[in-house]
This record gives sequence, C-alpha cells and structure tokens, in this order.
Amino acid sequence: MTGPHLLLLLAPTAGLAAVLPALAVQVRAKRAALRERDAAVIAGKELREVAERNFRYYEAVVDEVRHLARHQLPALVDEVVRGHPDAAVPGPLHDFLRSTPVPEHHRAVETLLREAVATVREHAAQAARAGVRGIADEAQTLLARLQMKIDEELGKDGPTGAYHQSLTDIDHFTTRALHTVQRLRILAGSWPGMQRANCTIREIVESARGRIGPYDRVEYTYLADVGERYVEGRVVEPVTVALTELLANATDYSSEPVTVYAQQTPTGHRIVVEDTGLGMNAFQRDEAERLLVRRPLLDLTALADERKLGFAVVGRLAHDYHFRVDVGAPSAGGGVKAVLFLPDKLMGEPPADEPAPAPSPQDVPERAGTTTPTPAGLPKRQPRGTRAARTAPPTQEATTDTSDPASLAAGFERLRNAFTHGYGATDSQGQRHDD
Amino acid sequence: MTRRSHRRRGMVRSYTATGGRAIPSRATLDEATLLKADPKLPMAGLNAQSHRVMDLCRAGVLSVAEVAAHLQMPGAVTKVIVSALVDSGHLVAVAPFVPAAQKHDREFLKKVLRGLQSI
Repeated sequence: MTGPHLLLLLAPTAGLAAVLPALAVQVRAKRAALRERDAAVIAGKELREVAERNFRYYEAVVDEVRHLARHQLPALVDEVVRGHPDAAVPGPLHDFLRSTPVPEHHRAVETLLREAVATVREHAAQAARAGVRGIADEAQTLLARLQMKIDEELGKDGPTGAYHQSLTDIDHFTTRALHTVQRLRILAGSWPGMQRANCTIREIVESARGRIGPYDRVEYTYLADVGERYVEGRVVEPVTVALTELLANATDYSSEPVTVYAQQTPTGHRIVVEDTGLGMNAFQRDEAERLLVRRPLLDLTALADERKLGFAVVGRLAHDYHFRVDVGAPSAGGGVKAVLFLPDKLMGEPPADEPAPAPSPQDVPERAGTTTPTPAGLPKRQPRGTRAARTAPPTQEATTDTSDPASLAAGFERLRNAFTHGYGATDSQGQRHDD
Repeated sequence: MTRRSHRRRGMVRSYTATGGRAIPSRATLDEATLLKADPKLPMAGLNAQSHRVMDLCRAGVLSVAEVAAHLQMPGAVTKVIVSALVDSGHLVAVAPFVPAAQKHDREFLKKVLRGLQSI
C-alpha cells in the first residue's frame, strides 16, 4: 500500500531534485558565459592592441626595408663601388627596431655587399694587372731592341752629323718611354723586367739621369772612389728605376739644378738627391713616408697624382729588393732631400769579363827609349806620380804603337817565324795522323 | 760581345754624357787620334764621363778608339766628349804617327793576314 504513496511523495521530490542541479548548472553557465564575454572583450582589446602593435612593427619593417633599398644601399654603392669620398651611408630609420633582429640582418646585407664588391674588384684588378704586365712586357722588349739598334747605328764608323743628332734625340725619347713602361709594370705587381750585370754606382746614377726629361738639370758630383763601386746585378735595375723616380720628382718640383751625390756610410752606401724646390709639407711628407714603406699595387680606382705614383713605385721596389728610401731629412736648400740607402749586402764584385785593371803607371816596365821623344815628336808614356788605379785604367798596350820602325819590323819578323813554326807543327801532326 | 757585358752596355745612354750633343765640336778627330792629358788643369766641375776620360788619359797616351772601348761608348759619342775636353784644354790631340821610313812589303803583309786567318 505504501509504495504508490511513497512514489507519489517521492515523485515531486525527485523531480525537484532533478531540476535543482539543472538550475544550478544553468546559473553557473550563465555566469560563466558572462565571465567569458567579459574576458572576450578584454582579450579582444588586447588582441587589437597586439595587432596594432604588430602592424606598426610591420609598417616599420617595410619602411626600414624600403630605406635599405632606396637610401642605404645606393649610398653604400656610391661609397664602395663608385668611390665617392663624401658618400655617407644613413643609419636606420626607426629607433624602436633596435631591439629586433632587423638591424643585424641589414648589417649582414651591408657586409655581404662590401665583400662582394671587394672580391669582384680584386678579381678585376688581377685580370687587369695580368693584362698590363703582358702588354708592358711586349712594349718593353720592343723598346729595348730599339735602344740596341740606336747603339748599333751610333757605333758605326763614318762622319757624325745630323743623322747622329737625330739618333741621339730618338734615344732619349725611347729611354723615357721604356721607363714609363717599367713603372707601369712595377705598379701592376711585376719586376722591372730587365736583368743587368753588376754595375757601378756611377752607371746607376748616369743611367737614371738619362731616363728623365730634363737630365741636363741633374748635376752628379762624381767621385771616382765611391762612383766606381759595384752594385749587385740583381738590384741594379730596381735601384736605377727607383732613383729615376726620385730624380723625376726633384726636377718636376724645382726649376733649379738638382744635385746628386753618393757617399759611403758605416753600413753601406747612400745616393742623395737634393732639390731646392718648394719641398713637402708635413702632410705630404707623412703620405710619402707611408707610401715608401708599403708594397702598394695598382689600384684601378685610385690612380693618384704623379708624385704619389712615383713614391708608390719606389716603395714597392725598396720593399722587394731590400733597400731603403727616406725623404724625411731636411734639405739644406729648402727642398726635398731624398736618400736611397744601399746596404753592404747589395754591393757586388766587378764582373768577370771586365778588362783586368792595368798595372799602375809606376809598375809598367820602362821600355828602351821611352824617355826620348819619338822621331814623329810624339810624347812618350812616362810614369806619373803614385796615383792609385781605382777605376780600370787603360792597358798600356796601345793599338797605335809608338815604337820605332826597326823594332816594328823585328816584331813582324818574330811573328812570321812563329807562324812558320806553327805551320810546320800542324803539318807534321797531320801527316802522323794520316799514317 | 758577351751577353753579360751587353746587359751592362745599354745602361748609360750616350746623350747623358754629351748633354744631347751628337756632333763633335772638332771635325779633325778620328778613331786613331792620340790623346794626351794636361795634368795641370783641375778636374773639378767635369762630368762623370769626362772625369773618366781624363783618368784614362792621365795614365798614358791613348787613341780615341781605345778611350771609346774603355768607356763602353760608341765612337761617335766618345768623339763629342773628347772634343769638349780638347776645347777646354784638358786634352791635347795629336795626329797618329805612321812610320813612313819603311814601306811594308805587300806580299809579306798578305802572308801575315793568311797566318792570322788560319789561327
């Protein structure tokens, strides 16, 4: 009996019980929804802010890239490619990008561009230098042959006249052209292109003098002792080319005579070139000193003025062949005093094919009759003082002998006898061989 | 001419010694002219090549050809240098002595030539 009542009683209770949690859930859900809506509003605001911030970043980055492409890289190209001295590469546009990786990447682009330009330039320069060397080589060979031809013509017997004068003028132009080709090949990283035998300091000074235009303004104070010392063949041409450059500088910057002299020093020899021109200011002197100790190569984009080019040639030769050039010393005349130091190790011996120094006059055995004049009234050789023979003096066997006719004939007679004996010996040997 | 001395020969160009003059001031000089130095005149102020010519001739009488050989300079250039020294009185030029007392036998000279050629 109680079952249905209980059920009836229970039924609403159960229903309530079932409804209540549902209500609670519903309320909670509503509240959650409200909270979520609030959160969404907040989140939306934040998102908008983030989006706005990101957009500003985006715009700034685009700006920065445009700035890189339109301003920074062109300025960089002006600087490193075109070599404009006043091209200033602008900095970044936006400061607030400083904390981002953007500036770093831009720097990487800049570095890469600089490297690329340097590499391309070096390759181009190498190719150009090789080309210059090849052409210079050919031109030098032809000019050297022209010089030999001129010497050959000047050496021919016959009357001297206008033809010889023309040859001499042509010789000067040829020699100057040869020097121009040499300085070009040296700046292109090559050697002077000519190997010489051991030569004296006098020959070096005189040779260098002949390679410039106004050679008659160079006054070489020749002293036989230092002037006749030998310089090693390997460095003769480099030293001569360097000295030529110093003489060219001295005569270019002064219209007065230029003095050259050689001296012995405790560690070697020095050749001094002094002019009385304007001289160099402190800046020019520093620049010259800098070029003189470097080993510069021809830079296609920076072929500087004449004097700098000369110092570059000298600096390169001095570096490669271990001599030293100094322009820092004050000159008595107010101009430039250039000093070329030749250390003792660059000095050499007289070449083997040099005619042996003749005995000094007092060693020559006196021949009969040398104290009296010859029948033709010619002066006779006589020992003269005790002058030491430093330079290779002449051998005393002159081609034109001044002995009297009788002794000349006797000499021929002896020669004939020698020949006759010689024939006899050859004949008998020949016969013995045939047997 | 050996290669070595050739590499030395072209070093000093002839015009540096003559100041660009190619025609000697004296036409009377030839290769065989004998040169005698005047020891009294000072050598100061002479250029290097003239200095050397004086050094060569002070040691004894030399011909123009011999001086040229010692200077390693063409004969024409040597004549210019020597002429200037004769002008300044540093050198005295004397015509070469040719012995006239005895004519040489032509046949004999031919024999000498043949002998020389067969050496």
